[in-house]
Amino acid sequence: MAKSNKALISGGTRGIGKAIALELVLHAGVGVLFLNYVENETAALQARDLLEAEGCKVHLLKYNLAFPAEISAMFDEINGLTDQLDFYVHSTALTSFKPLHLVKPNQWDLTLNISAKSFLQCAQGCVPLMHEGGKMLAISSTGSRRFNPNYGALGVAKSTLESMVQYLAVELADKNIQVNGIVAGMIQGEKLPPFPNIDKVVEETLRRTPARRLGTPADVAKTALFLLTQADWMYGQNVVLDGGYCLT
Amino acid sequence: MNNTEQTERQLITIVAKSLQIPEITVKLDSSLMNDLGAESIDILDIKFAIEQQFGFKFDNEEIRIMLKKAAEEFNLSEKDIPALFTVRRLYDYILLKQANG
Ligand SMILES: NC(=O)c1ccc[n+]([C@@H]2O[C@H](COP(=O)([O-])OP(=O)(O)OC[C@H]3O[C@@H](n4cnc5c(N)ncnc54)[C@H](OP(=O)(O)O)[C@@H]3O)[C@@H](O)[C@H]2O)c1
Repeated sequence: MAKSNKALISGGTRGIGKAIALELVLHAGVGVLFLNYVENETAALQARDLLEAEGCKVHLLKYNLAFPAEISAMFDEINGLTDQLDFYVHSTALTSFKPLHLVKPNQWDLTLNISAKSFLQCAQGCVPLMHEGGKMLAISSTGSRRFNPNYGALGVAKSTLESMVQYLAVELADKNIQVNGIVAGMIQGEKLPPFPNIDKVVEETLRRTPARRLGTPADVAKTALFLLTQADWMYGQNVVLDGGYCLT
Repeated sequence: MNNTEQTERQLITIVAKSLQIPEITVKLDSSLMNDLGAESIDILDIKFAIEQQFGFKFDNEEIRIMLKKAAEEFNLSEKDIPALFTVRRLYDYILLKQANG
Protein backbone atom coordinates (compact mmCIF):
# COMPACT_ATOMS: atom_id res chain seq x y z
CA MET A 1 0.00 0.00 0.00
CA ALA A 2 1.32 3.48 -0.87
CA LYS A 3 2.21 5.32 2.30
CA SER A 4 0.79 8.73 1.43
CA ASN A 5 -1.29 9.39 4.56
CA LYS A 6 -0.23 11.58 7.45
CA ALA A 7 -1.27 11.19 11.08
CA LEU A 8 -0.86 13.08 14.33
CA ILE A 9 -1.02 10.93 17.47
CA SER A 10 -0.82 12.63 20.83
CA GLY A 11 0.49 10.17 23.39
CA GLY A 12 1.79 8.20 20.41
CA THR A 13 5.14 7.21 21.85
CA ARG A 14 3.90 4.68 24.40
CA GLY A 15 1.22 2.12 25.14
CA ILE A 16 -2.02 2.34 23.21
CA GLY A 17 -0.98 5.38 21.15
CA LYS A 18 2.16 3.60 19.95
CA ALA A 19 0.16 0.47 19.02
CA ILE A 20 -2.25 2.62 17.00
CA ALA A 21 0.69 4.31 15.29
CA LEU A 22 2.06 0.94 14.23
CA GLU A 23 -1.32 -0.27 13.00
CA LEU A 24 -1.74 2.87 10.88
CA VAL A 25 1.70 2.52 9.36
CA LEU A 26 1.15 -1.17 8.56
CA HIS A 27 -2.46 -1.04 7.40
CA ALA A 28 -3.64 2.53 6.71
CA GLY A 29 -0.99 3.83 4.33
CA VAL A 30 0.51 6.22 6.87
CA GLY A 31 3.94 7.35 5.73
CA VAL A 32 4.38 10.41 7.93
CA LEU A 33 3.67 10.38 11.65
CA PHE A 34 3.71 13.23 14.13
CA LEU A 35 4.02 11.77 17.61
CA ASN A 36 3.50 14.01 20.61
CA TYR A 37 4.88 13.22 24.07
CA VAL A 38 5.98 15.21 27.11
CA GLU A 39 9.02 13.81 28.87
CA ASN A 40 9.90 10.17 28.25
CA GLU A 41 12.71 10.60 25.74
CA THR A 42 13.73 6.94 25.77
CA ALA A 43 10.22 5.74 24.90
CA ALA A 44 9.95 8.39 22.18
CA LEU A 45 13.20 7.35 20.51
CA GLN A 46 12.25 3.65 20.72
CA ALA A 47 8.87 4.38 19.14
CA ARG A 48 10.54 6.34 16.36
CA ASP A 49 12.99 3.50 15.64
CA LEU A 50 10.21 0.92 15.60
CA LEU A 51 8.02 2.92 13.23
CA GLU A 52 10.79 4.13 10.94
CA ALA A 53 11.88 0.50 10.52
CA GLU A 54 8.43 0.00 8.94
CA GLY A 55 9.14 2.71 6.37
CA CYS A 56 7.45 5.70 7.97
CA LYS A 57 8.93 9.16 8.58
CA VAL A 58 8.43 10.02 12.26
CA HIS A 59 8.51 13.54 13.67
CA LEU A 60 8.74 13.57 17.47
CA LEU A 61 6.95 16.53 19.01
CA LYS A 62 7.89 17.20 22.60
CA TYR A 63 5.21 19.64 23.76
CA ASN A 64 3.31 19.71 27.02
CA LEU A 65 -0.42 19.52 26.28
CA ALA A 66 -1.18 21.01 29.70
CA PHE A 67 -0.38 24.43 28.25
CA PRO A 68 -2.25 26.10 25.35
CA ALA A 69 0.90 27.99 24.30
CA GLU A 70 2.77 24.70 23.87
CA ILE A 71 -0.07 23.24 21.81
CA SER A 72 0.06 26.33 19.59
CA ALA A 73 3.83 25.93 19.24
CA MET A 74 3.32 22.26 18.34
CA PHE A 75 0.95 23.22 15.54
CA ASP A 76 3.39 25.89 14.32
CA GLU A 77 5.93 23.09 13.96
CA ILE A 78 3.44 20.74 12.26
CA ASN A 79 2.34 23.48 9.87
CA GLY A 80 5.98 24.05 8.93
CA LEU A 81 6.30 20.37 8.03
CA THR A 82 3.03 19.62 6.25
CA ASP A 83 0.00 21.31 4.76
CA GLN A 84 -2.25 18.28 5.15
CA LEU A 85 -3.28 15.69 7.76
CA ASP A 86 -5.51 12.62 7.38
CA PHE A 87 -5.76 11.29 10.93
CA TYR A 88 -5.61 12.68 14.45
CA VAL A 89 -5.67 10.34 17.45
CA HIS A 90 -5.80 11.66 21.01
CA SER A 91 -4.31 9.06 23.35
CA THR A 92 -2.95 11.43 26.00
CA ALA A 93 -3.97 11.17 29.64
CA LEU A 94 -2.55 11.97 33.03
CA THR A 95 -4.12 11.91 36.48
CA SER A 96 -3.73 11.14 40.12
CA PHE A 97 -5.55 7.92 41.00
CA LYS A 98 -7.40 8.74 44.22
CA PRO A 99 -10.96 9.23 45.45
CA LEU A 100 -12.62 12.19 43.74
CA HIS A 101 -13.50 13.87 47.03
CA LEU A 102 -9.77 14.07 47.85
CA VAL A 103 -8.58 15.49 44.53
CA LYS A 104 -6.86 18.87 44.95
CA PRO A 105 -7.44 21.80 42.58
CA ASN A 106 -4.05 21.55 40.86
CA GLN A 107 -4.54 17.81 40.35
CA TRP A 108 -7.99 18.39 38.89
CA ASP A 109 -6.69 21.08 36.52
CA LEU A 110 -3.81 18.93 35.28
CA THR A 111 -6.08 15.93 34.73
CA LEU A 112 -8.75 17.87 32.87
CA ASN A 113 -6.35 20.05 30.87
CA ILE A 114 -4.16 17.20 29.66
CA SER A 115 -6.71 14.45 29.26
CA ALA A 116 -9.66 16.42 27.88
CA LYS A 117 -9.19 20.12 27.17
CA SER A 118 -6.11 19.56 24.99
CA PHE A 119 -8.22 17.42 22.63
CA LEU A 120 -10.26 20.48 21.72
CA GLN A 121 -7.27 22.69 20.94
CA CYS A 122 -5.59 19.90 18.95
CA ALA A 123 -8.80 19.21 17.01
CA GLN A 124 -9.00 22.95 16.27
CA GLY A 125 -5.40 22.86 15.04
CA CYS A 126 -6.15 19.85 12.82
CA VAL A 127 -9.26 21.21 11.10
CA PRO A 128 -7.43 23.48 8.61
CA LEU A 129 -4.94 20.69 7.91
CA MET A 130 -7.82 18.31 7.11
CA HIS A 131 -8.97 20.44 4.16
CA GLU A 132 -9.43 17.28 2.10
CA GLY A 133 -11.37 15.57 4.89
CA GLY A 134 -10.02 13.52 7.75
CA LYS A 135 -10.76 11.37 10.79
CA MET A 136 -10.29 12.09 14.47
CA LEU A 137 -10.34 9.55 17.27
CA ALA A 138 -10.29 10.08 21.04
CA ILE A 139 -9.28 7.29 23.42
CA SER A 140 -11.63 7.25 26.39
CA SER A 141 -12.23 4.63 29.06
CA THR A 142 -15.08 2.82 30.76
CA GLY A 143 -14.42 4.98 33.83
CA SER A 144 -16.41 7.70 32.06
CA ARG A 145 -19.63 5.77 32.64
CA ARG A 146 -18.94 3.18 35.37
CA PHE A 147 -17.66 3.78 38.87
CA ASN A 148 -14.02 2.73 39.18
CA PRO A 149 -12.36 3.26 42.56
CA ASN A 150 -9.81 6.11 42.52
CA TYR A 151 -10.75 7.08 38.96
CA GLY A 152 -13.07 10.06 39.56
CA ALA A 153 -10.99 12.88 38.10
CA LEU A 154 -10.05 10.95 34.99
CA GLY A 155 -13.60 9.60 34.72
CA VAL A 156 -14.92 13.16 34.49
CA ALA A 157 -12.21 14.06 31.97
CA LYS A 158 -13.19 11.06 29.84
CA SER A 159 -16.90 12.01 29.93
CA THR A 160 -15.88 15.47 28.76
CA LEU A 161 -13.82 13.92 25.98
CA GLU A 162 -16.73 11.74 24.84
CA SER A 163 -19.08 14.69 24.84
CA MET A 164 -16.62 16.67 22.72
CA VAL A 165 -16.49 13.73 20.28
CA GLN A 166 -20.26 14.00 19.80
CA TYR A 167 -20.32 17.78 19.36
CA LEU A 168 -17.33 17.89 17.03
CA ALA A 169 -18.71 15.01 14.96
CA VAL A 170 -21.82 17.02 14.13
CA GLU A 171 -20.02 20.34 13.68
CA LEU A 172 -17.26 18.96 11.45
CA ALA A 173 -19.37 16.59 9.34
CA ASP A 174 -19.80 19.23 6.60
CA LYS A 175 -16.03 19.48 6.33
CA ASN A 176 -15.86 15.74 5.68
CA ILE A 177 -14.15 15.21 9.02
CA GLN A 178 -15.42 12.25 11.08
CA VAL A 179 -14.91 12.16 14.83
CA ASN A 180 -15.32 9.04 16.96
CA GLY A 181 -14.05 7.62 20.22
CA ILE A 182 -13.05 4.31 21.76
CA VAL A 183 -14.16 3.62 25.33
CA ALA A 184 -11.56 1.09 26.41
CA GLY A 185 -11.68 -1.22 29.40
CA MET A 186 -8.56 -2.11 31.33
CA ILE A 187 -5.57 -2.65 29.07
CA GLN A 188 -2.57 -4.79 29.84
CA GLY A 189 0.32 -3.15 27.96
CA GLU A 190 3.97 -3.32 28.97
CA LYS A 191 2.71 -2.04 32.30
CA LEU A 192 -0.68 -2.04 34.00
CA PRO A 193 -2.17 1.35 34.82
CA PRO A 194 -0.75 2.64 38.13
CA PHE A 195 -3.95 2.16 40.17
CA PRO A 196 -3.74 1.65 43.92
CA ASN A 197 -4.24 -2.06 44.81
CA ILE A 198 -3.75 -3.00 41.18
CA ASP A 199 -3.73 -6.77 41.85
CA LYS A 200 -7.18 -6.63 43.43
CA VAL A 201 -8.49 -4.35 40.69
CA VAL A 202 -7.27 -6.75 38.01
CA GLU A 203 -8.82 -9.71 39.84
CA GLU A 204 -12.17 -7.96 40.15
CA THR A 205 -12.05 -6.74 36.53
CA LEU A 206 -11.33 -10.25 35.25
CA ARG A 207 -14.11 -11.68 37.38
CA ARG A 208 -16.57 -9.30 35.75
CA THR A 209 -15.24 -9.52 32.20
CA PRO A 210 -17.03 -12.07 30.01
CA ALA A 211 -13.98 -12.27 27.71
CA ARG A 212 -11.99 -13.46 30.77
CA ARG A 213 -8.96 -11.42 29.84
CA LEU A 214 -7.82 -7.82 29.92
CA GLY A 215 -7.48 -5.91 26.64
CA THR A 216 -4.19 -5.26 24.90
CA PRO A 217 -2.94 -2.17 23.07
CA ALA A 218 -3.27 -4.25 19.88
CA ASP A 219 -7.00 -4.81 20.60
CA VAL A 220 -7.49 -1.04 20.76
CA ALA A 221 -5.32 -0.49 17.69
CA LYS A 222 -7.41 -2.89 15.58
CA THR A 223 -10.63 -1.07 16.50
CA ALA A 224 -8.91 2.26 15.88
CA LEU A 225 -7.94 1.08 12.41
CA PHE A 226 -11.56 0.13 11.70
CA LEU A 227 -12.87 3.48 12.92
CA LEU A 228 -10.26 5.44 10.99
CA THR A 229 -10.41 3.57 7.70
CA GLN A 230 -13.63 1.58 7.38
CA ALA A 231 -16.39 3.09 9.48
CA ASP A 232 -17.58 5.51 6.81
CA TRP A 233 -21.08 6.00 8.20
CA MET A 234 -20.14 6.21 11.85
CA TYR A 235 -20.32 9.71 13.33
CA GLY A 236 -19.76 10.79 16.93
CA GLN A 237 -19.82 7.29 18.42
CA ASN A 238 -17.90 6.35 21.52
CA VAL A 239 -17.44 2.65 20.93
CA VAL A 240 -17.15 0.46 24.01
CA LEU A 241 -14.30 -2.04 23.79
CA ASP A 242 -14.02 -3.85 27.08
CA GLY A 243 -14.46 -7.62 26.72
CA GLY A 244 -18.04 -7.16 27.88
CA TYR A 245 -17.13 -5.63 31.28
CA CYS A 246 -19.75 -2.84 31.12
CA LEU A 247 -22.54 -5.37 30.60
CA THR A 248 -22.06 -7.15 33.89
CA MET B 1 17.19 41.01 45.30
CA ASN B 2 19.91 39.25 43.32
CA ASN B 3 19.26 36.58 40.70
CA THR B 4 19.64 33.54 42.95
CA GLU B 5 17.40 35.07 45.62
CA GLN B 6 14.83 35.80 42.96
CA THR B 7 15.03 32.20 41.70
CA GLU B 8 14.52 30.95 45.25
CA ARG B 9 11.46 33.18 45.72
CA GLN B 10 9.96 32.15 42.38
CA LEU B 11 10.50 28.47 43.19
CA ILE B 12 8.93 28.78 46.62
CA THR B 13 5.93 30.52 45.07
CA ILE B 14 5.54 27.68 42.54
CA VAL B 15 5.75 24.97 45.21
CA ALA B 16 3.36 26.73 47.59
CA LYS B 17 0.85 27.44 44.82
CA SER B 18 0.88 23.88 43.55
CA LEU B 19 0.53 22.36 47.02
CA GLN B 20 -1.85 25.09 48.24
CA ILE B 21 0.22 25.81 51.34
CA PRO B 22 1.52 29.12 52.70
CA GLU B 23 4.86 30.17 51.20
CA ILE B 24 6.29 30.51 54.69
CA THR B 25 6.03 26.75 55.22
CA VAL B 26 8.21 26.01 52.19
CA LYS B 27 11.90 25.84 53.13
CA LEU B 28 14.78 24.92 50.86
CA ASP B 29 15.42 21.82 52.94
CA SER B 30 11.80 20.66 53.00
CA SER B 31 11.29 17.27 51.39
CA LEU B 32 8.56 17.71 48.80
CA MET B 33 6.85 14.43 49.63
CA ASN B 34 7.71 13.76 53.25
CA ASP B 35 7.46 17.30 54.67
CA LEU B 36 5.14 19.11 52.29
CA GLY B 37 2.83 16.22 51.40
CA ALA B 38 3.40 16.31 47.64
CA GLU B 39 2.01 13.39 45.66
CA SER B 40 3.61 12.21 42.45
CA ILE B 41 1.20 14.24 40.29
CA ASP B 42 2.14 17.33 42.33
CA ILE B 43 5.82 16.76 41.58
CA LEU B 44 4.90 16.74 37.88
CA ASP B 45 2.80 19.87 38.35
CA ILE B 46 5.76 21.60 40.02
CA LYS B 47 8.15 20.43 37.28
CA PHE B 48 5.79 21.69 34.57
CA ALA B 49 5.42 25.07 36.32
CA ILE B 50 9.21 25.39 36.66
CA GLU B 51 9.62 24.62 32.95
CA GLN B 52 7.12 27.33 32.05
CA GLN B 53 8.62 29.91 34.42
CA PHE B 54 12.29 29.30 33.70
CA GLY B 55 12.10 28.25 30.05
CA PHE B 56 13.93 24.92 30.10
CA LYS B 57 12.88 21.25 30.05
CA PHE B 58 13.73 18.82 32.82
CA ASP B 59 15.96 15.94 31.85
CA ASN B 60 14.64 13.01 33.89
CA GLU B 61 17.89 11.12 33.50
CA GLU B 62 19.82 14.05 35.05
CA ILE B 63 17.37 14.13 37.97
CA ARG B 64 17.60 10.37 38.46
CA ILE B 65 21.41 10.51 38.53
CA MET B 66 21.34 13.49 40.92
CA LEU B 67 19.08 11.63 43.38
CA LYS B 68 21.04 8.38 43.04
CA LYS B 69 24.28 10.21 43.79
CA ALA B 70 22.68 11.85 46.82
CA ALA B 71 21.40 8.46 48.04
CA GLU B 72 24.91 7.01 47.74
CA GLU B 73 26.44 10.00 49.50
CA PHE B 74 24.14 9.52 52.49
CA ASN B 75 24.31 5.73 52.29
CA LEU B 76 20.58 5.50 51.70
CA SER B 77 18.56 3.07 49.65
CA GLU B 78 16.21 3.75 46.71
CA LYS B 79 13.20 3.82 49.02
CA ASP B 80 14.64 6.86 50.81
CA ILE B 81 14.72 8.85 47.58
CA PRO B 82 11.49 10.77 48.33
CA ALA B 83 13.15 12.16 51.46
CA LEU B 84 16.05 13.38 49.34
CA PHE B 85 13.82 15.15 46.85
CA THR B 86 13.96 18.50 48.59
CA VAL B 87 13.09 21.96 47.33
CA ARG B 88 16.84 22.64 47.37
CA ARG B 89 17.44 19.91 44.77
CA LEU B 90 15.03 21.68 42.42
CA TYR B 91 16.70 24.99 43.23
CA ASP B 92 20.17 23.59 42.47
CA TYR B 93 18.87 22.07 39.25
CA ILE B 94 17.39 25.41 38.12
CA LEU B 95 20.69 27.19 38.87
CA LEU B 96 22.56 24.50 36.94
CA LYS B 97 20.27 24.90 33.95
CA GLN B 98 20.56 28.69 34.14
CA ALA B 99 24.37 28.48 34.31
CA ASN B 100 24.43 26.18 31.27
CA GLY B 101 22.31 28.74 29.41
N1 LIG C 1 -4.00 1.63 30.07
C1 LIG C 1 -5.27 1.37 30.24
O1 LIG C 1 -5.67 0.41 30.93
C2 LIG C 1 -6.30 2.24 29.57
C3 LIG C 1 -7.64 1.84 29.60
C4 LIG C 1 -8.60 2.64 28.99
C5 LIG C 1 -8.22 3.83 28.37
N2 LIG C 1 -6.92 4.19 28.39
C6 LIG C 1 -6.59 5.47 27.76
O2 LIG C 1 -5.74 5.24 26.64
C7 LIG C 1 -4.83 6.32 26.49
C8 LIG C 1 -3.42 5.79 26.47
O3 LIG C 1 -3.20 5.07 27.67
P1 LIG C 1 -1.81 4.31 27.93
O4 LIG C 1 -1.96 3.54 29.19
O5 LIG C 1 -1.39 3.65 26.68
O6 LIG C 1 -0.89 5.61 28.19
P2 LIG C 1 0.62 5.73 28.64
O7 LIG C 1 1.37 4.50 28.29
O8 LIG C 1 0.61 6.24 30.05
O9 LIG C 1 1.09 6.93 27.67
C9 LIG C 1 0.62 8.20 27.85
C10 LIG C 1 1.14 9.08 26.73
O10 LIG C 1 0.68 10.42 26.92
C11 LIG C 1 1.80 11.29 26.94
N3 LIG C 1 1.53 12.42 27.83
C12 LIG C 1 1.18 12.41 29.16
N4 LIG C 1 1.06 13.66 29.63
C13 LIG C 1 1.31 14.49 28.58
C14 LIG C 1 1.36 15.91 28.42
N5 LIG C 1 1.15 16.73 29.46
N6 LIG C 1 1.66 16.41 27.21
C15 LIG C 1 1.92 15.60 26.15
N7 LIG C 1 1.91 14.25 26.24
C16 LIG C 1 1.61 13.72 27.43
C17 LIG C 1 2.94 10.44 27.44
O11 LIG C 1 4.18 11.04 27.13
P3 LIG C 1 5.54 10.60 27.95
O12 LIG C 1 5.86 9.22 27.44
O13 LIG C 1 6.53 11.62 27.55
O14 LIG C 1 5.19 10.62 29.41
C18 LIG C 1 2.66 9.14 26.69
O15 LIG C 1 3.09 9.24 25.34
C19 LIG C 1 -5.12 7.28 27.64
O16 LIG C 1 -6.01 8.26 27.20
C20 LIG C 1 -5.77 6.38 28.67
O17 LIG C 1 -6.62 7.09 29.55
C21 LIG C 1 -5.96 3.43 28.96
